[in-house]
Amino acid sequence: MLQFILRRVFYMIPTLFVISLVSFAIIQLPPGDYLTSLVASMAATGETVDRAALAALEQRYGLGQPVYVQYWKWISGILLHGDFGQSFEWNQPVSTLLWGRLALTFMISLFTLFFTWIVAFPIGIFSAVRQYSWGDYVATIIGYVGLAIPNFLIALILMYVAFKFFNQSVGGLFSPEYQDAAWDWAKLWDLFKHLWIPVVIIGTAGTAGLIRIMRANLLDELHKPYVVTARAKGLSEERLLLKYPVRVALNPFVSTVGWTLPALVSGEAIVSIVLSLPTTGPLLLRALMSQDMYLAGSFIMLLSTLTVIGTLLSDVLLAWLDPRIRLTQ
Amino acid sequence: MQNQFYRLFSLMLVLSMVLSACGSAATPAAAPEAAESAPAAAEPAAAAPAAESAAPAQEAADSHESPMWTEMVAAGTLPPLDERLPKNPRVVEPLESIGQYGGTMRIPYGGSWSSRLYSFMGNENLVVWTPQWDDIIPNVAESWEVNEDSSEFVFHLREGMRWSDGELFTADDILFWYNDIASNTDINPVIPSWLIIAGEPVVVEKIDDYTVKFSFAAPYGLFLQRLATPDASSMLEYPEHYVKQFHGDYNTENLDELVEAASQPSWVELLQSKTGSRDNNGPGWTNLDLPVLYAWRVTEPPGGNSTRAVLERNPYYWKVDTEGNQLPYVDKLVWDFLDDPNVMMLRTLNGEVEFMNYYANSLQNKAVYFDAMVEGDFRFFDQVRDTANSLMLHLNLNTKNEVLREAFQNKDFRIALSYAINRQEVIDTVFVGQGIPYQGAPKPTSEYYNETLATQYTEYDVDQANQILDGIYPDKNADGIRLLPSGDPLQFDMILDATRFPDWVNVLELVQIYWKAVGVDMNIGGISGDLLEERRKANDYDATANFSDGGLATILNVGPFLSPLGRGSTYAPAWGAWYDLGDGAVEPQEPPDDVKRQHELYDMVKATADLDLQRQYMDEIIDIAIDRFWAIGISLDMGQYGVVKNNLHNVPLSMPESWNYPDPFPTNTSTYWLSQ
Repeated sequence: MLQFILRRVFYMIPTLFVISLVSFAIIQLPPGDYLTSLVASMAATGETVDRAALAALEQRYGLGQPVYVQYWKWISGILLHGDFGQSFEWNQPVSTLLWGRLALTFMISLFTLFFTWIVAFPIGIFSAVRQYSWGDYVATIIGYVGLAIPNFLIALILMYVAFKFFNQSVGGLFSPEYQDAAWDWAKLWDLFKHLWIPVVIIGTAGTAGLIRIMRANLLDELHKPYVVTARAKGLSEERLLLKYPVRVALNPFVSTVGWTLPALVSGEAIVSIVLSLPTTGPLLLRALMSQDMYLAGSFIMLLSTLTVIGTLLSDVLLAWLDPRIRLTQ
Repeated sequence: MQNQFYRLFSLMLVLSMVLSACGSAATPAAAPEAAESAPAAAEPAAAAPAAESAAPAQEAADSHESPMWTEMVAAGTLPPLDERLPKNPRVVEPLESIGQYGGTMRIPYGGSWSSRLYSFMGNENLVVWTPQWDDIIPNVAESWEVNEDSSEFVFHLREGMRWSDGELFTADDILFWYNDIASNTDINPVIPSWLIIAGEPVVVEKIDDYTVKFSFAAPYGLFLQRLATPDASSMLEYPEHYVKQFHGDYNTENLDELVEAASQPSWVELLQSKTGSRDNNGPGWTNLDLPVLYAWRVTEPPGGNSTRAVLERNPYYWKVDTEGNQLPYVDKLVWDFLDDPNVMMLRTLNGEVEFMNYYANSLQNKAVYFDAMVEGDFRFFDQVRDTANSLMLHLNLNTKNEVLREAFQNKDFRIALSYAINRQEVIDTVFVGQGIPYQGAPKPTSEYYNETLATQYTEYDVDQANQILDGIYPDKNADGIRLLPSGDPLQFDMILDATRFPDWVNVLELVQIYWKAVGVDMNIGGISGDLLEERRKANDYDATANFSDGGLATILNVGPFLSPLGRGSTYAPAWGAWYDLGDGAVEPQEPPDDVKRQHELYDMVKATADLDLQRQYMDEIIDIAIDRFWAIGISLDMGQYGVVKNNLHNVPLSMPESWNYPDPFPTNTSTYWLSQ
């Protein structure tokens, strides 16, 4: 087992190197550079920018240098000094921007994850065990509706409802009066009052998917001979269900649980933009749109690293959960 | 000489449009401002408050400042008001009423904070526009003199005026900016073009602590106008006493440590990361220590991790109202960063926003706001855009495609395409009925309005269009598309920034249908703004849709529709580059004689301060533009608006909107006040 983990960690090094090359190449792909995008966005509001100002910016950001020089500057900064570079657009170090937004992003994502699981697993099990029952149909309909409506639309509708019927300040995570207040119970309560909206919105789509997967997996297992055997031996229905088929049905979840790690960070960009949440998703999107290359590159790098680590975690978890996989290793 | 000044000021009547648009509500402010604008008079109104605060006035001073400061003054942590104000503060006549101190203004923004903060409060230049955009009045400079041929400008600063940290503001700060920032090639490789005339950069001299002289190698008739625009923003935002510590020529003690601590490559980047409201992409707004001359100073900076910025009143602000009360009235500004226009709209509808003039004010939204006006307790104000047209269709007369170039350079071809457009239908469907058919031309209220230029070829006349085109390209293919002499169908792409301007795509979709009906196949190339910018720089496009700034400030913005020069002239970029390289890298080509004549005339406009001569030259430029018929316009740009809460006062019913008039600042945002 230890050897298995070590080998996997070793493989990560070349993978990450290739990822760094690819992510840097990707952010260089769009035409022009950060200044092009700056000029384009200024032109869109009728602003003019002097040639002198552009020359000064180009010099400051080192945008005239060849790509390999820029890559070396970036990667050596990360490896040697842990310095991800400066964000052009925000005029702040990339690391400050990333870490500053991670706490809230993690919080929202974790809440969403728990919300999804708490809702999806029982419903999934229920609709598999009581297939084609009245409850199964209701759960299925709700699931499909959640899956089919785009998240941003639910966000807009929920915000409109919050504004129209509850007179609540929409967008953001705090009411204006708590923005700069110190942390206390009232502020925490205010946060929860805002938090449920993104959690429910992001959760609905995920919940629907999970319900369907859980239902399908479980249906595959329920009619296998070992279930019949166990039942014949007199095991109680709940114990039987939870101890054997559900455990087997969980395999696909565990093998994909690693992917939630990058999702925790990238968050739901569109929902966050619509709700004006200070999470990492909108930051990444903006960085890509404005060609803020060190911020975008570091972001992609971070997400890729998390995916690689997440995959490792899944493999380890899966090996732990399922002896069959452990033995073939 | 006195006469000369008056000529200079009245020259600004160029921008007279706004007067009529503002209507009666805005006019009360006009009279005193105009009196102020006589430099020799040096603000007669200012004498009263100055005397008041200078003499026995301790008790009077107490009542003339925000309660926020009275306590601090009593506690001795802040000098009394008369020590904070200059001897001769700028007196601003509030639009409607003398205000009450206090309150918080909430303003939503999206996109770049530097532009929005700048245009709300940052445009504190030596001189500023009047609220009506029809004249130039003193601001940081209390008065000025200009020599006979407009090549030397002497500005008198306000004695005792202070930065927001309490240090004196003097001529040295301006010299520091010019000598050590603008002319320092480490920081600025190129001197800004607005400081160069006849190829020579300006010479700035200090006459005494409160007098500066700008001398140019040749007459510069538009210098004062340039000074009032955001071009000149950097001049007054480098406080010498503070910025020196980051400057390699001055700090020889601990500069390396500062650079190291900020993990910047060198002192140049360090300095650039600490300064600039517009320079260096605006990091000055995030630096809490940077002393400013603005009405409010940043206390909670904007940034990647915050969803808002907070600004509080500047204790040393150097303007007072007509009763001698120190401005601004409002204590605090809260800028909420909302990336999504729908959220911005919901907040505005809910009455959670005091002032909204960007992003969420599309024509389509207006009806929704209208329905919620009473409940949300807000009102509208009109925005009069500086644009000459809602959308200009630019066929590239310098395109690299030879066959198309020949077609586009044929004026009759462009006339036929113009006749083929059903403008009224476009106005009704896309612009919700706002506007009239119009070409690229100064607005009807502009001094340079020209009926022929504005309305030629705007009739919807398919027969005439076909008749003209039949004369040029009679053959058609099976799809009814006309054939070029080469045998290829007459086809081209019109590229535009589809992400930022979805409305424009809607217009083009209609135009595509109209043009197809006369046998011309135009494809809409909706591309990203970045790609558009790259292709424009490389002159790699056949046609594009573009802005037309200069409908009001025509004299400052000739490029977009009168004569090719600079970046707005995408209808003939190579001829424009011949005159002025702009910021792009378009290969210049020698233009025809009439275009050269236009360039020559515009040089003459810039050089003279004689209003009649300027008018005469501009008229000749316009005559050539009529004859040239550069580009095809759609409609007059109308019906834009902003939203203010009903308890916010002194906001005009109408204001211009332009980058050259960075709205709403020239309407004196420091006099806005909130009734509690």
